[in-house]
Amino acid sequence: MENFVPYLIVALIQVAISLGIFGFVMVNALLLTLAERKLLGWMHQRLGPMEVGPWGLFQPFADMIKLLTKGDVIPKAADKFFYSYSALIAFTPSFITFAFIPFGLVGGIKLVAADTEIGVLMISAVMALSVIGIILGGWSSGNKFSLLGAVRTAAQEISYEIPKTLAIIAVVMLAGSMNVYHISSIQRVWFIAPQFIGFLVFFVSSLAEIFRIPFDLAEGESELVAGYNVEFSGIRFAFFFFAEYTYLFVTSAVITALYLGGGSGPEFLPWGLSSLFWFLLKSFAMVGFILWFSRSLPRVRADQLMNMAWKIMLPLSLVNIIWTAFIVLNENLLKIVVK
Amino acid sequence: MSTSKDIAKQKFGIDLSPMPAPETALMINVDSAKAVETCLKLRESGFSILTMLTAKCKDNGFEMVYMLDNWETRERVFVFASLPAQDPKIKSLTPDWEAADWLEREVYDMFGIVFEGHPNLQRIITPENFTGHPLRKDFTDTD
Amino acid sequence: MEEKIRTDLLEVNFGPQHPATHGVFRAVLTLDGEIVVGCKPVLGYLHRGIEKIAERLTYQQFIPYLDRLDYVSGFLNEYPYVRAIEKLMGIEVPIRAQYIRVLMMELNRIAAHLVNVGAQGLDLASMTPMVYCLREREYILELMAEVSGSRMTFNYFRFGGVKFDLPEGYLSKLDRFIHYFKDRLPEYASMLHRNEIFQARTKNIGILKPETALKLSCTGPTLRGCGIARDLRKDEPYEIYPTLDFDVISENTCDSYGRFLVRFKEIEQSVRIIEQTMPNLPEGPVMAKVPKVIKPPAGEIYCRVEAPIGEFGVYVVSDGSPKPYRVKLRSPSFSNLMSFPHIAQNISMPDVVAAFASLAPTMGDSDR
Repeated sequence: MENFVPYLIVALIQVAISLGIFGFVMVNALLLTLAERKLLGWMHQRLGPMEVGPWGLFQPFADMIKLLTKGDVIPKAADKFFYSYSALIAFTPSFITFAFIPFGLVGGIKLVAADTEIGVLMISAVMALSVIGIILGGWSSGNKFSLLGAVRTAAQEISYEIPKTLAIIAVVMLAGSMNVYHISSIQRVWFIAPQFIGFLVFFVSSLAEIFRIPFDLAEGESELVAGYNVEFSGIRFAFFFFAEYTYLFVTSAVITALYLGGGSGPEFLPWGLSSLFWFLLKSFAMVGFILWFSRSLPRVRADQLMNMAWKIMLPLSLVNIIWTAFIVLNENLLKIVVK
Repeated sequence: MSTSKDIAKQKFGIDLSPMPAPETALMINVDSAKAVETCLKLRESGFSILTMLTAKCKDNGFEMVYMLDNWETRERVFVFASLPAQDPKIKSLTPDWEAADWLEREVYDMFGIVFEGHPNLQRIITPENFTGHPLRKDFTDTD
Repeated sequence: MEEKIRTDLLEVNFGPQHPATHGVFRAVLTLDGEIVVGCKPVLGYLHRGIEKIAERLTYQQFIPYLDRLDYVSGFLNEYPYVRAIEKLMGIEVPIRAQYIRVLMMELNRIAAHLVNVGAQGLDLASMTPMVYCLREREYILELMAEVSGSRMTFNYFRFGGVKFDLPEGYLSKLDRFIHYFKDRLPEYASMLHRNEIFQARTKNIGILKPETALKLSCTGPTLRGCGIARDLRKDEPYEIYPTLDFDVISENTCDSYGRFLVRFKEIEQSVRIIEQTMPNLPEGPVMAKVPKVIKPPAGEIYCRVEAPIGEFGVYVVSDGSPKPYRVKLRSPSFSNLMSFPHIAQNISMPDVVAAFASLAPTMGDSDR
């Protein structure tokens, strides 16, 4: 019995950390919805939400309460089992990816929940799991529009997974490791400079993976009404919604870690808090950039999307790998780039 | 340049007369059996655009109104064809002139005039289960 | 052993509650994968029986209903009806009223084109240009409201002129707006038709051949996008249009892009017209002497106007009583929509949306 207590404490701490991350994920997603609406509003020369709370700050909480208290509607044509759980399947991986994100080095402790040697690979793999939920959700709704959305999703994810992974491989070649924290801390020059082509490929592929305009074919409001989630409402819709915004942040965070030097930056706070500060700042700046980018462009068509993946992105990422190999093999160049 | 009016006169022997003022268009009254034929002849004479096709109630019966346009010479012609109140029927223009498709369906919907030979003569504006023909003068609200 | 994959055609209801159908249009699309192989339009969801209403009202009472046809271009709907009755009764409209009418109609054309141009962007998921277009339209609506008292349902044209004269200082306000507006146009161009994705989505999509367009009596930008420069303002000029200098825009690409471009460039032409109208605005009355009870002599007349969507015509039959005997509204949306099944053939579902937007129909106009 006495041996059991330390395990219990460790378990409790882990539960607490998990809950903490869960809270962060939720609040983050909520605030991102507000941020998106406010940013969009400013770009459109309007105010965005202003009614709930001072300056509309409580709007996301009002939205959440509304979504959580809505009636649970399951369409007659739906496959009940998959319809019920697809949202969870889509959401859970988005939550897991947070385990591999290196938020910084505070007080000598690495702020990364799972500091594994295969972090980059894991993020990629876990993110790809969400697609299953989306496809299931689209198919099980028993709606033609959502089915079309789901089919599009499948094609899109498979296509863009490849150039994205190839772009990551180039980064791994440079850093000599798949540990995300290691990659983010080893950059003498931010990798966006030596890896500019790779960054472009990664950025575009990520946009395609998180369904942002110009690649939001799975939702395609003007053609598929709302795409895969057209039949979802209430809490199930909320899960899809959270997954989308969480991925928006995760993608930005990964870009920050891989290409923007992670938490590096001038230190001005004690205990290395500045690394956390810089990491979050860069990530949220990236979120803003993605929102800005996606609101300036029209949507591409499915076949154009595929063409772009296989005819432009894939060759570009291969060229990038050759270029990276050139850097890696040239020691003088390599010394400039990495520590 | 000879006007479409002259061509119609020379080629088909169709005698177009001017409409009563203030309308500046040409007009012709034809027998309902010959309306489609006349329209097609006028089309060959240069009135190549079917701008309007409608109907109106007239003297306890109906009158079909076709309005054709010649954009080059800026001529317009109205073709009128009277129909009886009971069981109004007229040959459809649609097989020969696609622009008449929806317009004839609308007239069928609103006046109950049957276009023989129309490929898809269904109600277009009112619901499928609607009864009556709203633009007839004797139409009363059905609720 | 070879096994064939059996595929089915999918029937999808595009509308009436679809976000991209500009109201309540419905088309039953048959899809093979994402390619549309069949298209059957269904209309009538916004039918209000306006032609029947006309027969039960006096001539003046019917004017407000016209604003509710193509609800983005009220002035242009009122005009042909008012003009038809004036012609029937032989009323001469004062020159100042004619200028004000043209001014208002061109302002309204800009407003309507802004909505359609923005909606084309919105249907390609580009939300920002739509909001920008609506922002400018807001200024125009306010300018029009200042004259007529209403933002969209004006009820401003009267038999024999217009209801009110322009308010004081109106022209300088209009002038300020036109200056501001001209600078904005390149901004829209860069977000819309100069954008590469926009071009890829509209060029060579939704082909409407000139022969088909003529066969179907298409008018307006739908026809001018096929390279046929037909504009009633030039071909059958009304009011003061003969004295004005403007170009008829036509594009011979015959696709969604061409139809969009015609609309966009027509905004510039309307600005030109307004600029010519403003300094020449003569002084004088805005209403002719008109009898209290409008009783046109028996007769019939067809009057038409170049509306933003195409030729809007009003066919009025009068039997000499104070109520019209029959009013037929020749709506451009209705005739242009007939070309939709031709346009939507063998292109993918998202392109159908873009092609539909390039026709820019208003369902209030087509269903009446």
